Amino acid sequence: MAKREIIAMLLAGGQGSRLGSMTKNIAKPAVSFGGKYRIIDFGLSNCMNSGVSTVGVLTQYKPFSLHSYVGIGSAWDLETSYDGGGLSVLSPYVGEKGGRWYKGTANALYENMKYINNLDPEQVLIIAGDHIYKMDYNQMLQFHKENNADVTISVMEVPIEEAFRFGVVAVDADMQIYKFQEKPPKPESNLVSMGIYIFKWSVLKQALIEDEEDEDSEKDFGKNILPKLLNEGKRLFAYSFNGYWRDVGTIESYYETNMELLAEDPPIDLYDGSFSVFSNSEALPPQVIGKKASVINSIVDNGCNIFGTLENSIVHANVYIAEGSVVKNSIILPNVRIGTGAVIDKVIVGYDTVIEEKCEIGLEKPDKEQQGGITLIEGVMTVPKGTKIAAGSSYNKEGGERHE
Amino acid sequence: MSKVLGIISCNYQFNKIHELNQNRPIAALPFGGRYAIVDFPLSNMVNAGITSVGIVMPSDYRPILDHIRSGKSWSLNRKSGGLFILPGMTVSLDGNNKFPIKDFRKNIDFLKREKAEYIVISGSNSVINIDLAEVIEEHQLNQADVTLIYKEQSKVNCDELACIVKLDDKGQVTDMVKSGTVDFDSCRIFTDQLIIGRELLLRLLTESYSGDELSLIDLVKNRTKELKVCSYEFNGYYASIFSKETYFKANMSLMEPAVVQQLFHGNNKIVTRTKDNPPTKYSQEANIKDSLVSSGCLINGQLEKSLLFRGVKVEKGARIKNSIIMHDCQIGQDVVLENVILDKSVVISPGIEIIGHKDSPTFIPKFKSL
Repeated sequence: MAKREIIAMLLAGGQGSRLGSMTKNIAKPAVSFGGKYRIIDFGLSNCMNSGVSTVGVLTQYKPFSLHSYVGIGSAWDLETSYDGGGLSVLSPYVGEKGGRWYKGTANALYENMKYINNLDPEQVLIIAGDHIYKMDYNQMLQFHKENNADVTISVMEVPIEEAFRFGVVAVDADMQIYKFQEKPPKPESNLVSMGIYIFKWSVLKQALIEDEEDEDSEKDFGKNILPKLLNEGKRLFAYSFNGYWRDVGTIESYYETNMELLAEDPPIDLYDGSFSVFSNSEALPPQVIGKKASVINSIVDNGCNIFGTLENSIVHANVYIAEGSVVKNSIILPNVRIGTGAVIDKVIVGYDTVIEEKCEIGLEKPDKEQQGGITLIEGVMTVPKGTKIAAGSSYNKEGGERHE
Repeated sequence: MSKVLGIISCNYQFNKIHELNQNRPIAALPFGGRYAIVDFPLSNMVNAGITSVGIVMPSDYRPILDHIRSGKSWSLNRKSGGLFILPGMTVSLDGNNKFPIKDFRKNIDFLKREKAEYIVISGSNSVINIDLAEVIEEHQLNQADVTLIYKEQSKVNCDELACIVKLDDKGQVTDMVKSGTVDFDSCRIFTDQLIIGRELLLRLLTESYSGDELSLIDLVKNRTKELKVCSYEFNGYYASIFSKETYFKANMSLMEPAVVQQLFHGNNKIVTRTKDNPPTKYSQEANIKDSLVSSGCLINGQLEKSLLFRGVKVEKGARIKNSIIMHDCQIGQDVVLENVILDKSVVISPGIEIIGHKDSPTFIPKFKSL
């Protein structure tokens, strides 16, 4: 790829409020996933694997953990390079006229126009920091250039009854878009936007400036920028992507997407060395599987000590599961301790939490299933000995005792 | 803290471990599922706040450089100080005569230029997690010229050529002898780690022109009367690796959770180069007991008292017991392995059975397909 042909802007500022307490102290892209990853690893690794070597990461909501995790991008070979590329963290800032928060995805880009201008790329790739997928952006760029497109939107097919949750596109035979509707009540197509765009920078820049002046605009790509460009007669194309793609924006989708990794032949192959997913991981010792332990159909990361029974679960780094405890159908985030005799089923346990002896979590099933039957235990807390928590509930600081 | 310089000597070899070490210095020998032995001295130094480390290279240095690269994993890719690659004697030295004076003379410019007060010198065949900052502090408190670190151990566990320190009642070193010449059950084994003043080392090097055949240990030993040679007793886990058997035993000792705890989960971390493997996946058929497994493995078989390095695949029906399987090996269906060491990237076809001797495991070299 020619120098500065394309740069990526990765939107990582969203709160992710639908993930409940999982994003209480941490931005959604920094949430752990799949045993050793953070959600943002997928977008950054795609950039790395596609040869996109300049990435601006736009952060806003509780960015501390995200900032320290992303660092200067070394883990993804995006360390700021001699030619001024590499990874830059772009947070809201203060200027002569004061500071302000990003008002929407388009406004976030507008506020960082100077960054992009300095780099002066031909194309700008816009991606989200909360999607799980492997994609070679080069192929999309080729498609974009072949069509001499102003904007290319990556799209996929979904069942028509689910399309209303997305931006829906209607295309002609050449994949040129003639209609774009953000979350329409009655979708007229099952081709939906994945929130991945390539813009000609000259076109995007003009649109951002005009959109900023429009007081009625919500400063959002899907709601404002794309419909506006379409109305102006710009060339919008849909690039259809057939691979695996998941939005992990809700507790249910986060849970299901994790669990898909446990399939015998998982839809996303993390073991494929030709397109690796990289992460900023610590050098932790190998996992210890004890004499009386049983580990089946599970994914376990380094630094774990497993002495109990583990089944259909995903266990992140440095987790301790004591002898006599049973962990089933669960996702355990880093640094959790599960005490002797504790039994947990279909639970997401937040990082640094301690579940004391003989707790029973997710065993009691209420008549009316809530949260997909998934129990959520907030991070950085202690669930006292013998606590029973019904399936589908969220156990937060108010209900439990903080240990810090 | 005073400025301290680290030197790790990697240019020696043991005949007894030759099998495991063709074209691979002992420093680069894979250990404990994901480490190379050099990770231990390197991490110990970095954990003590040492930011300048020189590594004396053997002629077959490729595996060492491949592992440490720029030193980034240990934050040694620095502007001030950092990692220094030092030339050493290129003929493979006998592991029992480490730290030859010639090596230090060869690098005398480095020793003159790096303005440190003390130098920590270490070998590269010991598995140990030691708080060197504490040793340095004691060295200063004692106003010692040299401090030798030893571990009290039963003689059974040491090579007959290992170095034993003899102490007087104040804990000062009076002599150093080969363990084969001592008649005690328990002895104080020199862990191949010492602290010496930089000025003193430079003086010793320039004084003894005739001593080119000697080692630094000889120089110190011959001066126990004129120098204040103190000792520091290390009480934690220590294993010296100098043969296939000691290699196997040290790795197997990791099946004891307390040893893993002490070596890897304490305040001072042992750092290694991360390779971004995915986590390990255990299938429905997996049956794992009492084992240590690294990331990136896919396990469908049975595992007992075994150590798996990164990226190992174990197919259905395979049974592995009391064995060490290094990186990227592939174990076919219904394979039976007991008391074996598989070096990196070995492929075992379905149905094969290899059973080694309990005390002397069968070794299969790198890239072999059976």
